Amino acid sequence: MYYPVSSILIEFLVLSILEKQDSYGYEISQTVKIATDIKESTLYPILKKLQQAGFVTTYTQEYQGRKRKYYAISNVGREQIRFLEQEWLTYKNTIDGIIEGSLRK
Amino acid sequence: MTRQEYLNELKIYLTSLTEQELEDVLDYFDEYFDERQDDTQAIADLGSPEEAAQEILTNLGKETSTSSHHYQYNVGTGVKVTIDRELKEKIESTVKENFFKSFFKQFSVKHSYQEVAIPYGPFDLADFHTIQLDIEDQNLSISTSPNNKAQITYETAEGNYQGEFFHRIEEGVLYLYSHDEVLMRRIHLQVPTSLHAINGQLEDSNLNLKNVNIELLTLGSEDSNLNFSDLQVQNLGLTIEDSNLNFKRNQLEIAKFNLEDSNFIMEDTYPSQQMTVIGEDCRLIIPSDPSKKTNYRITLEDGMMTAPPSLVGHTQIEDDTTIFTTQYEQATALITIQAEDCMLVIK
Repeated sequence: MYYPVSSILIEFLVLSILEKQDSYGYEISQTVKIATDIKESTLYPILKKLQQAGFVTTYTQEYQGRKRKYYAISNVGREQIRFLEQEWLTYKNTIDGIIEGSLRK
Repeated sequence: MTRQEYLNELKIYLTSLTEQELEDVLDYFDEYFDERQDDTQAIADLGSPEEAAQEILTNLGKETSTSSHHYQYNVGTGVKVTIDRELKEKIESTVKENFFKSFFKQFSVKHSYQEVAIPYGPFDLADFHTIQLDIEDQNLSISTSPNNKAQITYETAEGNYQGEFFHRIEEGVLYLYSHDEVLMRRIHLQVPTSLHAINGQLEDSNLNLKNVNIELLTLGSEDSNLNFSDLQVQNLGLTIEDSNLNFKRNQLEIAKFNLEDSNFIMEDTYPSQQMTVIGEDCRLIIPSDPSKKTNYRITLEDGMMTAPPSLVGHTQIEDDTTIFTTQYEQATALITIQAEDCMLVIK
């Protein structure tokens, strides 16, 4: 896609993915990659940051004899989604408003 | 590049992370490789280890090695030497010495062994995996501890020791630095057999380093004597000026030397992969590999070179430049030498 996706928006995407279901690094990155061509080296620090902020927790599960690290959303993470959602709507409406002409100084 | 090589190289660029942070990153990348099931494709998507590491460090809020105080010297495959701005300026402002004069140059290194030295210590050290040196006017020896216990001993002249420490350990890194007011006769450091890295710089100092396995060794040195023996080093990068460098019985994987106005004597040391020596106004003595497992690519500008008859290769001369290359088919390692105004002896 032509427009760049900021790291805050990626945080929002990741939290939204995890709100529906726990997931692991590769699966998360594949979904985020539908929207933007992100590298693992960009996604990893974001996951780490979400973890440190307490928005997500992690656990390890066996899969075909190897380990997969799963990420799960916490209650604080759910609150953060509500905040990000509100901010996203404001942002989206503002941009739409200017484009459509309903917003002018 | 294989998956393991990729992860190893990534590790080299992530030395500023703590052990736990590094482990987490490597686990994440490891898992990515597992999921991808196609290492070549995975590496293509991940980008170069250097880029990936920079991205990770920046986004984790870590200082990357391109910070304002330091300069990076790219020293070949995957290794960077970081040296202080001050040292860099000094190196650059040094007027180039006459070629022959440099052979007889006296180095202003302090030798004070005969004077009274009172040992202070030994002090036991907490666990560390990396040593960061910032040493001036010191005699420092680093060797393996017989009981695998890390210890440091200072030898001082009587009366001038103020009870201050010259080392500290933070997050697995041992910082060793000199103090202007106190003249140490000698510092002995005993370390575990294996270390992740030794980095830093030396000025007007003697350093003896022996018997240690090191993943990454990067040092800058000025007016110093360096003796390295019986080491195993995966990645080595040295930037040396006005110094004597002696290498004995070391096993190197990848090594790069930048030498100016220095003497470099290498004995019984061959790289398992590659070694690059860039020398200006230097005297270089490099061994020839009797097993013919090593190819040589030598570019000589001015200066002179001698090689044993057993070293068979192709010579090409253009103006002041001589290019000599060997093409042993069974060779698995490569030594590249670029020498300007040097006396080069292949022994």
